[in-house]
Amino acid sequence: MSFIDDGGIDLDPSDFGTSVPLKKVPNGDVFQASRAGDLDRLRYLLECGVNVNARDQWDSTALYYACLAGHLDAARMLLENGAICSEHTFDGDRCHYSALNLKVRKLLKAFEARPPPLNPLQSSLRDTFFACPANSHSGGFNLSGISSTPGFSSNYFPPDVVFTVQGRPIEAHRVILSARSPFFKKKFETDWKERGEVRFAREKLSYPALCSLIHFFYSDRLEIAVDDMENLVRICKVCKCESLQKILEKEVIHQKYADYKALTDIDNSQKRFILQGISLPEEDRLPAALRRILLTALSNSTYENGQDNGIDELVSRMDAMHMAKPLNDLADVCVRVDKKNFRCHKVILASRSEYFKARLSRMKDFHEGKDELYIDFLPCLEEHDMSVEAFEKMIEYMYTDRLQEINPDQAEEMFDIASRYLMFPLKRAVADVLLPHLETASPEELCHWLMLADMYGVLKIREFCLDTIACNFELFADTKEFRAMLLTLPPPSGDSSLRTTVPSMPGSSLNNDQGNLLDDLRDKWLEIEAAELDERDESALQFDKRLEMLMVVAEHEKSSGDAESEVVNDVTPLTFSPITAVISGEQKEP
Amino acid sequence: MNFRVASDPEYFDKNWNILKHAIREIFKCNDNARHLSFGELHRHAYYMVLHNFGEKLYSKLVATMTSHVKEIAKSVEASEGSSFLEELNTKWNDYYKALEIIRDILMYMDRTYIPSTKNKPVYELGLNLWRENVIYSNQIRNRLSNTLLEFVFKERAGEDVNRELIRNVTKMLIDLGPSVYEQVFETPFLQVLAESYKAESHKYIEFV
Repeated sequence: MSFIDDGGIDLDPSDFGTSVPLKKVPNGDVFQASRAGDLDRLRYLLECGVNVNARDQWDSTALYYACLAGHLDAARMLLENGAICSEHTFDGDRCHYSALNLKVRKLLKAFEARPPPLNPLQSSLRDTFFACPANSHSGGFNLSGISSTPGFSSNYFPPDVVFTVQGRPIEAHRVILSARSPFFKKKFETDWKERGEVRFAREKLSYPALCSLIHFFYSDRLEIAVDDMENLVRICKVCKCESLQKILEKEVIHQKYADYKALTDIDNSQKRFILQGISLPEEDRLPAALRRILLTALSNSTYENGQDNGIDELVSRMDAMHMAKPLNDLADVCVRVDKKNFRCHKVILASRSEYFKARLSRMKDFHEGKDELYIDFLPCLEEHDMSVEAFEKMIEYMYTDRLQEINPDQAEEMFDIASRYLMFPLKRAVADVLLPHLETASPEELCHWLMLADMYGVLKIREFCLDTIACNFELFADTKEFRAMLLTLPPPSGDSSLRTTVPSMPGSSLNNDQGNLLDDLRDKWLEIEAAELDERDESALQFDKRLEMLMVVAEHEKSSGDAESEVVNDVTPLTFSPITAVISGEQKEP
Repeated sequence: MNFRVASDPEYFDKNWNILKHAIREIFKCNDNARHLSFGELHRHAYYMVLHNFGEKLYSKLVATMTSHVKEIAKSVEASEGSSFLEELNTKWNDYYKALEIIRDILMYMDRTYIPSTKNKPVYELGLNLWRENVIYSNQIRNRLSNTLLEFVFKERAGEDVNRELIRNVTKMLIDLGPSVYEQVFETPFLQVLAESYKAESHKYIEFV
């Protein structure tokens, strides 16, 4: 990230990070974490979805504390998560005045005027829109917010329609336009059905206005020069985007009035109008529009009814296809999961999951493309190791950025496919709907969830389990499953002086950016149980001794448990630790 | 299921052998690769990284790719005369295509394991190996420079040369990094060019 240098102070990477280790506040709220500069806690809280612009009882925001204490990293994290800092607002001015030093002020300046970040769905579709070569240099867009992935793995996914307006091309995907505008939907079903290229000859149609609108269709964010707004109103009328049209008309009137009020001439070509999707009624926003597309496609998706009656089946299906009304769901790919064929849209799958992007563009290189498998005239992908229910949940999330509800039994499979299909935000969505179920979970179940969360890197669940265990440590110490779990974990780092600065041991770097599970548990426990600050090290030692004792008990239980099971069944080839046995017993085998 | 694989001591070797075989097939760039399934290979790689075998997987991958690149270097070194550039170009195209596929199969490793280490992502790794073992090989580096210069001067002398081939090879050098292009082509090219203009201008001066 680069900052514009207007004050003679440059921010470079060495300004971030600190020379002294910062205090950790494992149980702090967003204000405490910001004041302490505890990035881990702050990241966790933000991931959990705390309101980044909330105020505490002193009417202060988290950003205010971070600025006051001069924590550049924390301030930046808050800003990147949408903390407001515009000057001439109450909160913004307060942050500016309280900033510890010029570097903090500079950071605030750099983030001023920046619109809040897009949600995962909107931002991935926006990336896809801009990755089309014709759109990437569509002038007038503020491209600074777009992150380009290093190497040659780009966000590019080929468009299926190109418009030419005033001699300039705009590349787009049919399904997105159809979802957002009844006009485009109708055209793609009729006149433009077979056409890959549409030329608009009308002089009056403005390229920047249409481009802004199509960009809005992808990203739920409208960005347009004030001068082009009247053109856009006309386009909205044709495209039947009524709610957007209403807002724009109001704004056009307002702008005229603003001109009248202004004493000096303002050059309107520089002035831009920015509108967030959230200003529209919910049913006109991107997730709702794609939900409608998804529901239509799902209602057309079918179960495989036996493959034995090959030709007859095919003929009867062809008849059915001709008889029935055409399937106007614009599906362009079929995904077969455990005998069910889901009609889907390539651009959504590819934008949301790198796996699908590679899979769809590599059809020809692999076995999957060889048989030219077609279902209802669509190319077909087959996905294994996944249940129909899990896939339904996954596409629900892909199209709408939301999960309405899941069965706790399903959560593990969801974590697995979120990782496998490289849809990391899905893990958080699953964690959000899973969390209420964990409030009533038993200690054994929580141990199971902790292990899963640690393995799949689900921060929110991991923190929740650790908090619960730390608060009820004695209860867990009495649980056989907890003791058994201790045996399967890497040992905590012994040296207490290392604890705050270097949380991870050489081998534990494999666990992404998470620390050692038992170290984190000890930190949480100390926060709750340790009496005084200067007795912390003693308490830590005490805790480590306690863990050691529990592990000895567990070892004993394990060996006696094995002996017992050998008595019961003397052909036990693998030695599962008790917890593993319990867990794999709970799982349904594929 | 996931907990059990972790406790199977032969788990890694079994799965790595499947991947190794696949990577070999992909490098061959023939239709054999089409017997493989993308989804399945990706799944194998994913489970290996998930079960903390990322480091092992990466080091095995480096070994496999290095030995393959060394084989290519040998065959390019062995090519005779004018077929040298063509051989290099064909091998590069095959290699690049294979590299893209391998990167896609190992994308989970690239996204989760690599960032937590100092290792290079698969794509970069592939380019580095090619640069160190093929382009910078003693028997290739100078020969490549000289052949390219020879082509350029042949063309200046009015001979018909394969421009497409030169374009592809110089593009490869740029893909490998601007410094490679500079060292192998640009600097010697400018040097020779300066000398030839010097000679030419001398000719004119003498003529006058």
